[in-house]
Amino acid sequence: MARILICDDEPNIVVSLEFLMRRQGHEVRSVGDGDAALAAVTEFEPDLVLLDLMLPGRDGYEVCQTLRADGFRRKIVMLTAKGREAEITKGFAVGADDYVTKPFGTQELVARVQQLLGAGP
Amino acid sequence: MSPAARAGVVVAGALAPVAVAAAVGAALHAAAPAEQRAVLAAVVREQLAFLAVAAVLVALLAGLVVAAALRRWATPARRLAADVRVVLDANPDHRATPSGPPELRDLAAALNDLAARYAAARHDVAEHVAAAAADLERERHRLAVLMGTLTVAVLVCAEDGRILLYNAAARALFGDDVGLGRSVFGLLDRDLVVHGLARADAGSTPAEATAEREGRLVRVRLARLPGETGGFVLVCEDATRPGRSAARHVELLESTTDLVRGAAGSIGAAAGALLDYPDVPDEQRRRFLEVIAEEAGRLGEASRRLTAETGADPRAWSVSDISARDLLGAVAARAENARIADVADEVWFSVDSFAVTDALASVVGLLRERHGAGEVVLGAGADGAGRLARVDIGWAGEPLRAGVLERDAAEAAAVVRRHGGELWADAHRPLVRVLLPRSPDEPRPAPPARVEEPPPALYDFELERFQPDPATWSEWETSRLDRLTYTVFDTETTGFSPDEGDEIVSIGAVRIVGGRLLRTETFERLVDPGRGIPRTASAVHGITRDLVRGAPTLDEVLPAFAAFASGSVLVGHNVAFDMAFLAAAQRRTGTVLAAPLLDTLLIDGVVHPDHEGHTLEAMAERLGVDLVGRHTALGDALLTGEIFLRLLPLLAARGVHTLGELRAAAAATAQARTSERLYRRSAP
Repeated sequence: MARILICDDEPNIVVSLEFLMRRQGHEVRSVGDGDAALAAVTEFEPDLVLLDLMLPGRDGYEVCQTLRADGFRRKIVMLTAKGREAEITKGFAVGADDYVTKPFGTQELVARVQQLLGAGP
Repeated sequence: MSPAARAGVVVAGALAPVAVAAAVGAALHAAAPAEQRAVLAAVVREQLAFLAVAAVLVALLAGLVVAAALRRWATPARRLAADVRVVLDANPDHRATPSGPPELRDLAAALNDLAARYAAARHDVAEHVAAAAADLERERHRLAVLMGTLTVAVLVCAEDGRILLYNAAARALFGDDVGLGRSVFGLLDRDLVVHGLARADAGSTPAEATAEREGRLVRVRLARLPGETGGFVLVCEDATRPGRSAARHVELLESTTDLVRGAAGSIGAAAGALLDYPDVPDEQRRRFLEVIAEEAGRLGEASRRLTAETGADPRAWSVSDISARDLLGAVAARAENARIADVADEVWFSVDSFAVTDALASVVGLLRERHGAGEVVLGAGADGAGRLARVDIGWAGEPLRAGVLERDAAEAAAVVRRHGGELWADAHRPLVRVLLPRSPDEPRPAPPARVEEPPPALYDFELERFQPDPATWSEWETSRLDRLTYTVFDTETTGFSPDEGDEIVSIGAVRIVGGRLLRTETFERLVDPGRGIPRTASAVHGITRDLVRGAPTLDEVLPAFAAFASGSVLVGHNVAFDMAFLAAAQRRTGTVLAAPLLDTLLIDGVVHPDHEGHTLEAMAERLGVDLVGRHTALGDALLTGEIFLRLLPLLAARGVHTLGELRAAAAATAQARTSERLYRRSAP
């Protein structure tokens, strides 16, 4: 059981992500923009952040880079429709642990999250 | 036949019968017995007066007959021959006037018929030649007008890079550096042209590339000239067009792709949850189904929008190859205080170079204005990042905070993303990294250059006589004089004594290519002599101290002149004088005029050894060259050039055909000995 923060402004993906994470027994919180994500990290202290890149205000890269600059050491998974080489390179460069592109397989996502949490099946 | 000869013939004819009679008399006298001789002598003695009168009469009569025969036959025949000569060599419409005996009249009439046919044939040929020449002239004119109206610069080059043709736009784009017979590699980086040609050879015709030139970007399209002699065409444009509509097109594609991926992600996640977890509560199941229906609707909408808006022409999205060095060079030229370090030469980007330069320059500007960066260091490399290569922008100072760059340089970021690239600021170092797509074609080895044969003439622009620059002295020496490229130059000075502080105040030069004086390709610079100009000197060339104030010094002008003259033989009149003035500047600047040197004064000594005057004026008069624009450096250079061109055929008539032969002949003249002494004394 871990704490998962979902940061995505698209409710239709959040509903599935929340369901999938809860079904693994995790505690889940969801936010819809970058500022809320930064606040939620401080308050909620998640073990893993599922982070979309296209967010209103601060985008996912900035949130990730800011979190790392502020000393956040837990896992960050980029979960995004942006899947080009340059974007993936940048994602890892700003501090992501994994990069999952939409659309993705639900089982694959779950597996990667569990692996990162060190509690894989 | 001269009058004296005619008189000789008449006298001989007149004396001949008398001589015959005298000879017969003498023979009879010798053959007769002694008693008859005495009788004969007595008769002759008695009849002496009568015999003398008879001899004179006979001589007169014979003379008259001979003179009449001459008049009647020989003179008309000779006149006829002269008439035929006139028809042949001077005036085809001239006709012989029939005279003399009937036989000669018939001959004259026949020759006149022949002359008439000959004149008609000549006339026909002349008409055809004139018509063909007029056609050619029209074609040339049309081509010249066409070339002139093109807003793109056109350069036609031989295989070795020499420019055979250029248009007004090329002149505007490249300035004074463009010129017939000059190397295109003085205008554009050799690697870029070689790279482009390699691409053209590989089949991507026409190949495109972008070069940086004095801070501006030049987009170059290259194509091979057909045929065995090789050569290529370059079409160049100032790359100032950002390609907006294409950018919109790319953005649309991009946003649609993101939208489709997002919707597919939502549908996939909901469907996956439903499939993976059969025990999903009803309310949750209903929520997932709603998601699927809603996202399916968004997908349909996205595809409709894409169809409606894909009117933009992606070809306007002008992506071309540019070397990392050129790209950074362009950025450095745009942004102050930026220097280039660590560029991997093998890296070429495939980008809209103008837009990307603009974007990178704006990032540099941002770093300086908002983040206190002083000197900015640009670098580029590939680091094995697949289809991408990186540009690094570094500075001394603090790293940027997260998100600052993307926000402040949003436009630049958008440009980079349109290319499929990304940019970000490193969190730990003062560094901005920009990823951009690499060119799929790496530069390849150069194609075989240097074709010995001259290239084909385009519309007979009379450039077929080009030859590559001789590479060695022995090649220079064996080069034919009528095929070499020359720079004819002259200087004006403050006086006659370089050893006593006199200096150059202006340099003028003109090039001779393919045996023609290129009046449009000239070099003319005023030079600040760094001292006063005596009134006596100003009176000659009209250049005063005021006129040269602010002009560059000789040390500044000399490299430009050397560049103008590069690859050509230097020609001057009494050139040792000019070289004496240039010697000190060559020593100071390290710019050496390394070309062979010819002196029209010495050449005149070769072709007119017995004439007294070898001044420009005397030579101009002898060779029929108009004296215009004397005593300006350029005017004298033009005059010297014309004189030089008229000396060439005279040299050929004396068996002097190559540069080596001319140098040997010139060195042997009387003038050379004094001149050489002067030159040796002041040479660098």
